[in-house]
Amino acid sequence: MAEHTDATAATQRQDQGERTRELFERIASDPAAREELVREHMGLAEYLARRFAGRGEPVEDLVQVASIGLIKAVDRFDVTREVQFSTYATATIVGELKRHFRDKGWALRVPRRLQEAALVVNRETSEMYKELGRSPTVAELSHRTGLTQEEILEAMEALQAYTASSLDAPSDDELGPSDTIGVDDAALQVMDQWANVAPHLRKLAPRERHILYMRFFEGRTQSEIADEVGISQMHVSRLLSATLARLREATGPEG
Amino acid sequence: MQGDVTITTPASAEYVHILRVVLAGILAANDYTIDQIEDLKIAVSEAAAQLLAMPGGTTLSLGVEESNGDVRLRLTCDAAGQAWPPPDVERTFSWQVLSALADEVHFRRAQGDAVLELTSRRSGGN
Repeated sequence: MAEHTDATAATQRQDQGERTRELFERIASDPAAREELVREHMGLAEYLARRFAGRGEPVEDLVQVASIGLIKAVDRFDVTREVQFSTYATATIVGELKRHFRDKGWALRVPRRLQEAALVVNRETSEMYKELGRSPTVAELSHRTGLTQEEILEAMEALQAYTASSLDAPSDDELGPSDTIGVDDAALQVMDQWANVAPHLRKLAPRERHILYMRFFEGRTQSEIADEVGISQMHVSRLLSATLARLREATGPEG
Repeated sequence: MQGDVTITTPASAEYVHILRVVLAGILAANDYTIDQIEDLKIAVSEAAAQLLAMPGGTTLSLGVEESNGDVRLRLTCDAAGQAWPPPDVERTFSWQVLSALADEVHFRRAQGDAVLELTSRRSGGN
């Protein structure tokens, strides 16, 4: 009985593989074949999207991202290769979902417990700066939040892995053009003296360049910068680290 | 908390976050502020990147000496026979970054090892 069922399933799989192959043969001349391929594999996209559920992104968004991955897979699949379309599509869709998390939220390895602690630390660091007029110590944060010092240190490190700008309210997230233009010119002029770094500095987003300038050229503290730009101190720290890492990558060791 | 801590890892970028975590723990125990801790973590990443850019190193170590609010970080890599300090180091962008994060920056050789030393005073500009 079991053998029979297996055989049936195998036949069905083979039939589907056959049908997929036919559709791919027609795809160049028949736009409907492309749509049909996407439609027929939408179940796979939805299944993979659900595997990424519960990580802070709505399932509908994940299905959307997975669908984009599926469309990419259909457009890029090379029929002459010795690989099944479903295998290729799975890799492409999972890649798309992972990229989505990298771009929009936490790196996947950060556990939820730590994410929550990190958001508390992020918020309270800014609050306490306003109250104390200086950045708090870890002991003070621990006292305030009820988290242990170890948890806070872990959370600080985890915040470096948080890539979403949603750490802060979106409206605070960008400087208005009128705020940046004047300062940014000064920043560019000063930073132009590093011939090897200058072209890469020019490619940075104006806000990141401005933050870099305030910290490393004007000598302002991270908390002061956070206050002025309207983002959290942890976010300033993360932007500085990420920007420096990108510059190092672009310029090599002598930068 | 008095006393020195030294931690040694393989000379590979994958280990730098361990150095950062160790440093943050020491600074937290000595009542440094979040600003200072985050600055010195960035400094460690930048300094380690400089040292790891030299080929031939096998170990990277971070020594932390804290006393009365002054902290001295000593990053050492055993990459021998390479140009260290890098030519015109005081005119590099990296120098600008490091000297904004710490009050004193020294590149030197000690017993053949490449050393980058950063001193930060709590009362200093940071």
